[in-house]
Amino acid sequence: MKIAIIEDRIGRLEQFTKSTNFDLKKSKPVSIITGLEFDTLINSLRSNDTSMLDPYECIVSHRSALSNEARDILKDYCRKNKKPLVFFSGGITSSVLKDEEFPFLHINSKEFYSENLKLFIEVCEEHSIVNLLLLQFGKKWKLSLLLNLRNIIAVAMNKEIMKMNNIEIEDIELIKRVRDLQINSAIKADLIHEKTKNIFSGDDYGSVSFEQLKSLKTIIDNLVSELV
Amino acid sequence: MKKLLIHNNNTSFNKTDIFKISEQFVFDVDFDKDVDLYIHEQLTRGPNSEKILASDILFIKVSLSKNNYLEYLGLRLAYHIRLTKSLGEKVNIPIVLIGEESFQFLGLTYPDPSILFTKGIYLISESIEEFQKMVKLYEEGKIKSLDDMNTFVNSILVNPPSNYNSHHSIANEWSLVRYNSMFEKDEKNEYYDRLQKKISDLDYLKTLHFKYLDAKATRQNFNPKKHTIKPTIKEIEGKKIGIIDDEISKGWFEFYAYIFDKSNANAIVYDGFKKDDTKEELIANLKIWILEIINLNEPVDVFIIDLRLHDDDFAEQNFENITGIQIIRFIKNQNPGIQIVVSSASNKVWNYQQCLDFGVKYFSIKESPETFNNRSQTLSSFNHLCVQISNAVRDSYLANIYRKIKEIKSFNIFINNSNEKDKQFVNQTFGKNGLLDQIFNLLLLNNSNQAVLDQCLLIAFQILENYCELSSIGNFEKNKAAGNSLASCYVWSRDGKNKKIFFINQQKQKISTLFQLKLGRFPFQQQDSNETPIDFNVFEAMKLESIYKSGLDITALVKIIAVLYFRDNVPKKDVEKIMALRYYRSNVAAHLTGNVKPDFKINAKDIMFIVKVFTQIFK
Repeated sequence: MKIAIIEDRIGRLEQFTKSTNFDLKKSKPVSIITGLEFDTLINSLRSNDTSMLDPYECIVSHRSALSNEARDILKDYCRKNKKPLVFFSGGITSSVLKDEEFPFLHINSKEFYSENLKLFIEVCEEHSIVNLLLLQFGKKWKLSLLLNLRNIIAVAMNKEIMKMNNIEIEDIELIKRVRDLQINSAIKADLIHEKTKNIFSGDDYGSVSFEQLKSLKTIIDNLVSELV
Repeated sequence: MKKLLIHNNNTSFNKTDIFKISEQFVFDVDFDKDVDLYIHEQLTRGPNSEKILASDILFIKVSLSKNNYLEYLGLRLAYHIRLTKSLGEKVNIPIVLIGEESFQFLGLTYPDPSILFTKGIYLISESIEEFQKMVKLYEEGKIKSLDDMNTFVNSILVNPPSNYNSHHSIANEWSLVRYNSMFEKDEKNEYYDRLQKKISDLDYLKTLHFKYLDAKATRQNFNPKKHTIKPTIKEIEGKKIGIIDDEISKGWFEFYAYIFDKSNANAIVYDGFKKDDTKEELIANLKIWILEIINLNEPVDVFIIDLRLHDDDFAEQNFENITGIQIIRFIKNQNPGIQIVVSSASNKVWNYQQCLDFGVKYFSIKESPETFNNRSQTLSSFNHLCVQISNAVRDSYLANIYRKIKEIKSFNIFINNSNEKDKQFVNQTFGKNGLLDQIFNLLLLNNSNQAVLDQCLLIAFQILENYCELSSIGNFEKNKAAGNSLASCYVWSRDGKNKKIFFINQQKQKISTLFQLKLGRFPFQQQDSNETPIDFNVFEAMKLESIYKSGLDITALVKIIAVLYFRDNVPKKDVEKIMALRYYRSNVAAHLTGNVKPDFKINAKDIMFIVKVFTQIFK
């Protein structure tokens, strides 16, 4: 698992090392692309050559180090290869994660260079997982996933109720199978409980009933309360 | 009920049976765009803003991100709606949040939860039953709007975005916007227009944090008669003022350019700030720039400097290592007379106290939301900045005095003379901490104190008198038979080779002379005081006069006139000014005789005048 950090302001990186006692340069999964290597990358991107990025599973870049064109090339590259992409910038007020076409996080530089980065890299190294939520929320990353899942379930349950109340709901909108819940594998184990074990006993195509959804929601309610 | 649902396709209510398409606003932050800017755009222009303006109640999902619930963008949007002025009365609209979380849970997990506990905010879960209940309550008139914006603003707290987490960066943009908001409209002025454009482009104005602070501060109504700022600074005409501020590209250049243009002065700006420069590179570049502009034919003698000029300064523990301080020390080392106005967002008094140690006398604290929150305070903060700049410009003559003294020292007068008295004069006058340095140091200490100015005048005349006494300058012989009267006199030519004689003693109390003193009273003299030499007539050739009529005694004044005019070719009007200052010196600075009107005082310009005369005679 290799992460590329594209940074033109190396002082910031050194400041991070000082404040966290975590030397990014010595971190195994991390390659810092700066100085001459940075110039080479910029030149390659200019000619639409992204091969320099191929060895990495996740690309992190200082947003303003790249021109609009270079940013677009980088985004296209990550979209095509489904590689997580992070842009950090001093000019961003609130971080936003998009995970539709590929995982793409836009985060403020100060939030990026924090303890969360250390945690993110440690998890990358130990579990070979790129979890951008770790960068955004640190130890609270699981909470975000659980709240999201709870909302999916609540929406699904309400749609069932609405359908019963003669509000027009297409079948396709309803949660019928486990895979429709889009459960992130990182929280799956936490959800297995006496009342929910049947949901996870089969494959993702197994059906889910309204009652099972209700039980799953209760489990999530409990987990969420424990995490806060 | 005119309702609107704001969601990210993450709700069951987006069915047309419940909310028509025209009653929905799909919140979808553009790829790669700041969320505050996106929200601001949606609320201030385009179809979504029109939908809000047409609604009586808003239903907003707590989460407006597809996968990332904890961002709680619905709450952020609710804050924006309450604080975006262009929405007019709609800022008070009832907001129903939709989520599975309780008020308490949201309070625990959202960094700025206070809006949840204000009037006009409701919370339901994703349930058709709860939605219908809410509709019923609305129809029964039980759902309330926010009715008191002041109470709302006072009961919420919005933390600064993390890129504005230092007090410094907020105050920099805040103060600029506040000052500008109180300027009279001046659309004919090019710099005014540029300033308006720059400010409207500032991203900070679109952030939730700015809207919050602005709402707090503008609770006091703007009174144009009382609060309008006149963007002019007194008595800085023709001056060039150097500006070193890392926020210069965020509108401060346009701000200074505008107020200096209105004051007929010029802003000389360091515009070489690069984000990727190290602190050492920045300091080195600043030094090159400073050396260039302080050594121009019309040098820059006044600087406005911010203290923290590099990102590393925010983590710097040792105040002396802060970039601004290093630059101040560099400038003062080049010329301690250069005046510096420290204009900083720092609200720490001890920072300013330490600046005093480095020779800074003028300070201006950039207005920040914590320290200022009403119009009068903004006005006073701006006026204070203007006074500080004006005073610094007033004192900038010190830089010129320093340069003159340095120039005088470089003349190396009498360097080849072996005469002990000449050597002594050189050491006493031009040596380190000699009389010239004493004048400069006293002025630097306090140039508005009359006792200090009088002391400088005494020292200046001490130099002149010592100079006139030197045998390598001239010789004044006494007529022993006639008391203190001159017998004869000559001065050496400036190359020391020829004598120029202009008094010769003659028989019967007569003297051949090239000039004669004119008696009278200076305008600043008391009417009942004795007449005194106020001028002198220069003859084309030696003229025989009675020694009593000419008044040519061996006084210091006569020696000064003789040497300055006949040896050093100082213009007559300048010699006459020296005569007036000499009278003041003898009747006020040295002895308080009461012969000078009490309201007459000398000023620093008079000392500067004598120093200029020195540059001529010691050349």
